[in-house]
Amino acid sequence: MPRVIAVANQKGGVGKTTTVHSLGAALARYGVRVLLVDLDPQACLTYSLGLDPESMRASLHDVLAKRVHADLAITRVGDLSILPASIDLAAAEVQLMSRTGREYALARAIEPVISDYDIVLIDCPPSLGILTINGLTAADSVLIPLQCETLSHRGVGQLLETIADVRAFTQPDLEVLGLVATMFDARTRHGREVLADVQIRYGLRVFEPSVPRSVRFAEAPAAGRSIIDHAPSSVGAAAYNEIAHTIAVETGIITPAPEHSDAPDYSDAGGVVQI
Amino acid sequence: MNDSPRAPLFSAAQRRAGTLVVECERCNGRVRVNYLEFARLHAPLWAWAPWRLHSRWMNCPACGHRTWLAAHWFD
Repeated sequence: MPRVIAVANQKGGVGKTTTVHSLGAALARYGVRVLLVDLDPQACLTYSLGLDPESMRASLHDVLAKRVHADLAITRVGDLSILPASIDLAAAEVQLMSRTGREYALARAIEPVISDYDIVLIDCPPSLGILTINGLTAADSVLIPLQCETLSHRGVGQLLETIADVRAFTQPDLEVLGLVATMFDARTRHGREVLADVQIRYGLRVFEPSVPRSVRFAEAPAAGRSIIDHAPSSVGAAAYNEIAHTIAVETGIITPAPEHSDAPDYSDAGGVVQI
Repeated sequence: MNDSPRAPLFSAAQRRAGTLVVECERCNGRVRVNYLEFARLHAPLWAWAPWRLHSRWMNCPACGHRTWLAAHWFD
């Protein structure tokens, strides 16, 4: 059964799209079949994969409106598959409100295709509307990108309340995977304090390592690539690679490689180390 | 009833006259439908097994599959 992970935080500019793209690219390098779903009408994920949202033959809006099958809208970019968005998706918010079972529109739309993938990553919009509810309802877990600034933790609290509502009304099995600290500046005490505060206040797990602030993240979408492809040796790429590996192993998508340790094995030395 | 400020986003949370909530055994989806939609979801064929918790074999408005659903007039 494929894992469906919604990347959500109603605060804008915290790195949701970057997280989806980077984790998707990192997971694809492990041979994982990845589907990215762009649920944001701003279509930043679609654009950052090098696609023009306005010239796509079909987008998620067409799929939600039942004009085309999801299979026909999915576009392949390198190792990744994406269900693209366009600005038309903003209209879907209004159209869905009058539909019976509106919270399940996305889950129903992607259900026929998700068996072709190992993992589905949903890039939720920066709002708490019906599109985000659709993203959370279609997912089995949520990953929360958190920019390490004072106002960010308020958004986490509100999102957790929304997740509680989703559990109560539409998806009782929804679980919170944890937080990904983005744009982290280890030089300042403030970032570390915000992160520690959120961990204590909400009892959430924070994936290690934190993703550092870097100009490489700004450059990558312009090149239509993820940071994994644009700057593979950067600290940001390494962070996302490690987080992707952790998620893939813990969710059972990949099996961990046996660890090779350079440390000498003293296990049969009877507790005595001879030098 | 849930008094969350986000409850209006969820169809099942909005109690209205002339509606009921159906719950799917397959997808666990809970959707509020009016009586006309409820009747349509039975088409073309349906079954009723009153000894089951999800007693009606009909179309699920959440997952779109034909499966067993429970109908709740009071939630």
